[in-house]
Amino acid sequence: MGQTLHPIEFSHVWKQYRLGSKQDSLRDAIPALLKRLSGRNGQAEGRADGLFWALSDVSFHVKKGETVGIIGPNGAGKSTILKMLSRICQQTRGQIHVKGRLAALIEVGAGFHPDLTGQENIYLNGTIMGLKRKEIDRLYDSIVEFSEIGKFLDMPVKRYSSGMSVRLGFSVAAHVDPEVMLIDEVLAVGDLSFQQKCFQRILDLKSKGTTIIFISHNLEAVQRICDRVILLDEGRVLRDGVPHETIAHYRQEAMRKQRYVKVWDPTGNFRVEDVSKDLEIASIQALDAAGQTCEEFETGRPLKIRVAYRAKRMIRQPAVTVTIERVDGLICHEASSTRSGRTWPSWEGSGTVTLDYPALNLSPNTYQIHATVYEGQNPAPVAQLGEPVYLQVTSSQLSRGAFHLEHGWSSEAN
Amino acid sequence: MLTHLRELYRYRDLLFSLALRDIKVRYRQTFLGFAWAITQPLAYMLIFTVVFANFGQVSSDGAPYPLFSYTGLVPWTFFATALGLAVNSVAANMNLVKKIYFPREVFPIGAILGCLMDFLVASVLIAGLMVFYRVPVSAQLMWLPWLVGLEIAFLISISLLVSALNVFYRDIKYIVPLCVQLGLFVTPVIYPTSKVPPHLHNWYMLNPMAVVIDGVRRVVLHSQPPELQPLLVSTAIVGTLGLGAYLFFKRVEVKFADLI
Repeated sequence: MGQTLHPIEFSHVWKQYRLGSKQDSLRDAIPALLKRLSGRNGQAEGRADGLFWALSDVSFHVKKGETVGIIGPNGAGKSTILKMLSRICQQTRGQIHVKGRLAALIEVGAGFHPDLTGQENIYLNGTIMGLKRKEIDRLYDSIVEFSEIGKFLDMPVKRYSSGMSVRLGFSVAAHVDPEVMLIDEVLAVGDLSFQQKCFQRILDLKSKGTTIIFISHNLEAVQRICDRVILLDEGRVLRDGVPHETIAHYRQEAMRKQRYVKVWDPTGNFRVEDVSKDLEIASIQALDAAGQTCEEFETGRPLKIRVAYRAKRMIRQPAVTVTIERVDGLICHEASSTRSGRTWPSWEGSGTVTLDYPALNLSPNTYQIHATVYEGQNPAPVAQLGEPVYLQVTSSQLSRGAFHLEHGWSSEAN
Repeated sequence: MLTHLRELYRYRDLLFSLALRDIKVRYRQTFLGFAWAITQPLAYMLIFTVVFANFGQVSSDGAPYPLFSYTGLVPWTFFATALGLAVNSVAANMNLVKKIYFPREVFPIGAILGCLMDFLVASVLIAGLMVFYRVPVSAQLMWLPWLVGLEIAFLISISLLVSALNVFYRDIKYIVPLCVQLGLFVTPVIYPTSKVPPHLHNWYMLNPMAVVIDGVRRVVLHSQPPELQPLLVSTAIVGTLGLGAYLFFKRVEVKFADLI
């Protein structure tokens, strides 16, 4: 009894998919059937096709009004979970319980017919999403307003730009008002202002007490709206807990696994690069005033970051960059030896570089420290960051924002 | 079963939307619009009249042959067109099937409802021809709802079966139109039921479409009631078939999204 109180219950769910070609025509199916009837190892051949488990023994539950994020690399099984929750697919094993009206906030421009007008498509799409025509009558003005394409509603959708039809599809989906809402990577929809609108809509649902499952690669957004985050990898739950911890774990896993490094090029764009192994960063240490390694740190105190390297060949004109990244991905500070005008002729063998902050005024939060080593003017790094270091910053004072800055107030009456 | 039907009822507006979509899309950007609904049976009527009534001397049980063939062609065209659209209706909407949940039977049933409009428009011409040929109207017309209902139920039953099978084996969408074309010869469209050898009559009337078309002709052209025994048998066959097809469809529909 206590178990079925939650709106979503996933217990020991397994889902199997077949890889490769399936029987799509009778020409394949009839010989297969005959073979099976004659008992000639039809079974074994069927298995040889390749089956794989998209989900293996996944269990979790979601409480009423809770917002749970699901993160993980591509192919981890995130969308498979969503499909099973919304009854599009059926699990191979295990039990799924969903209580209450459920809707998926996904882009369903797929339901549009190109020859119908925007208005006709609103009705078509709305009924596909499970709304009644009367409900759509009532919501119609609001849907049109949300989409901001009111002028084009009498035009067939085939003449819409792709952005317009996405807006229209999403506006309809955003007006379904369920008890359980499934959201799959919607923040990549439309332009910036529309994305913010969608985000606001999700926050509205949340404050109304809607139970939400949120799938996204936008970890910052996950951190902002979720009460709990589940990390999936290869169909298994790796972690289920507080957002910043799960997210930090995911970032760490991703970096460890992939041996890639994040690079911000001079124009501010982000790219991911494979790292050569000419130089290895052996360790990164955060040291307090007393020279002790610290994991917790009070804001405003001095901090040294010591990077130990092991060069496998001679590195000419090495340059080091140390980045302090907040757990949600915000780069709080990046120190570059080149920009500071500090240069070394060459590195050989092993050694350390130390970066000195006389007073580090970060706001209380969890931070990751990375280091990257470059050679000369080559924009590609020569060293990966090794294991990133975590730093928990605390403060006796309340403050918001990224930094704790010295400040004062004054006032004057005119 | 009841839960399935209740859910389908909850999605009745979707059914309506899909049918409306089909109707609107079919005649949008056409010059003749709904008039196209009668062109197919009308064209066949003209050809049949020339070929079978004039060259072939096919009997029409005393009714004018154009009217005789047209009353057969209207229900038959409805059957052939609707089934042709319904068979691929689930597979053609796979982008939706993969993205969102709703009872999947709305696709075949919606496709059939979308053709019902054409059927009704084409039927109006029957009334016109009856006036033209001065065929008397009788109270026997009250049988029509049963006959039309039987045809729709038969269509839904077969469509549920073939549209689901077509998701697994795409051969079905080629097999079905072939069967429909052959079916024309075991259904009294071109010739009257009276031409069927008496010892085969009971077998012949196991085809629900034969019962429907024969019934419609008796009721409309001859002011007679339909043959009651075949009508009851067909109703029972369609009822059983429909129940089985629906249960089959609901059993396999959960696999649809995985199969694409």
